[in-house]
Amino acid sequence: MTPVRILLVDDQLLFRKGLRSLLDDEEGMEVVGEASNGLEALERVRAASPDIVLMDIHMPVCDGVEATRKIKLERPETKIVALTVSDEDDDLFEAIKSGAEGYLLKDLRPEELFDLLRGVLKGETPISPAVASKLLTEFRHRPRRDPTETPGIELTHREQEVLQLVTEGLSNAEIASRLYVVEGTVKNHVHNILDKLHLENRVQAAAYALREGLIEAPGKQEQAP
Amino acid sequence: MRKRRIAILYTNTLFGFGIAQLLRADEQMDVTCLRADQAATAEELKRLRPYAVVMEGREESPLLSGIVRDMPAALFIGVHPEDNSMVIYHDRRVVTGCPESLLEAVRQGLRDPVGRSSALGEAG
Repeated sequence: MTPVRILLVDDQLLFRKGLRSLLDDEEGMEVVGEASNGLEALERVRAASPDIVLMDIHMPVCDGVEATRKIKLERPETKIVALTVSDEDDDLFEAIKSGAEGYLLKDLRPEELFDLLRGVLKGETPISPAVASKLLTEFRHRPRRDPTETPGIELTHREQEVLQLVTEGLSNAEIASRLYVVEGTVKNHVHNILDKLHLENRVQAAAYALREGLIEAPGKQEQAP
Repeated sequence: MRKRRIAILYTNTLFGFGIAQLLRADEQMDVTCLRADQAATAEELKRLRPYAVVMEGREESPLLSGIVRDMPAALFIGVHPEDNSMVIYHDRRVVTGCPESLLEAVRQGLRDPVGRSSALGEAG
């Protein structure tokens, strides 16, 4: 099996070394480089073409948000997951807007990280529960908007259903199972949704849908009246 | 050769487990990870009687102050990832250093166990 090729970007040397040691010992994971700031990260991506970049947010010279934007511009196929101690809303939203596929806090067990990284390559979107709940709490209070009132966006009923489930964190396979369709159909729907919304990935789609009130915030429908 | 117990007190799990993984590369070290923010950690440390304690965080942390007071013979290393520095408390001396020298600092302590109880921190 081809290993997942990972680039580590963090200005904390000891954290990088420790994480590298953990990843190198895990079967199916290979660290192909390290960088201590965003500009170095861009150079390493050009040189090593990693599958996944684990990106710190707060770094000197060039931060993780800017680096993500630059890398996505040059290499949109590179998956970028923010890995940070920051649970600030601004950092989360900026990272997602810049194109990150996921947002994880460093308070994570190694085996959880390994599973989440494998999921990234299957199109899943890792977000730490603490951050996800903050995000949903923030958006839950926003008014729901009729999608037909949003200029330029015409999602079909099925696409809205898929978007709802994407926002709940389900993978394509899980959505397919829920809607009784094959996974390829879900992939097509997700592709069309991203295309219509002019977005790059599922996390952006989920954040956009919640922000614009295109779908119901997960958990809201279960609340007592 | 008997192993020496090393305790890692961490705040961010990945950071703590990463340091532990690096230290475990040395066969002399028997590494245990403990959360720094749990009430039971101080008691667990007293039970473990580690030879060295590596702690993520500032030296003014109440937990670290308590450990230094309760286990004066141990080697303490406070690692500050946010500014890539570390502080070593060793035989009433305080030395600052770079985190990349963490392993060497612990190994140096293993080679130079001045004034320690023979039972302190030995595992198995």
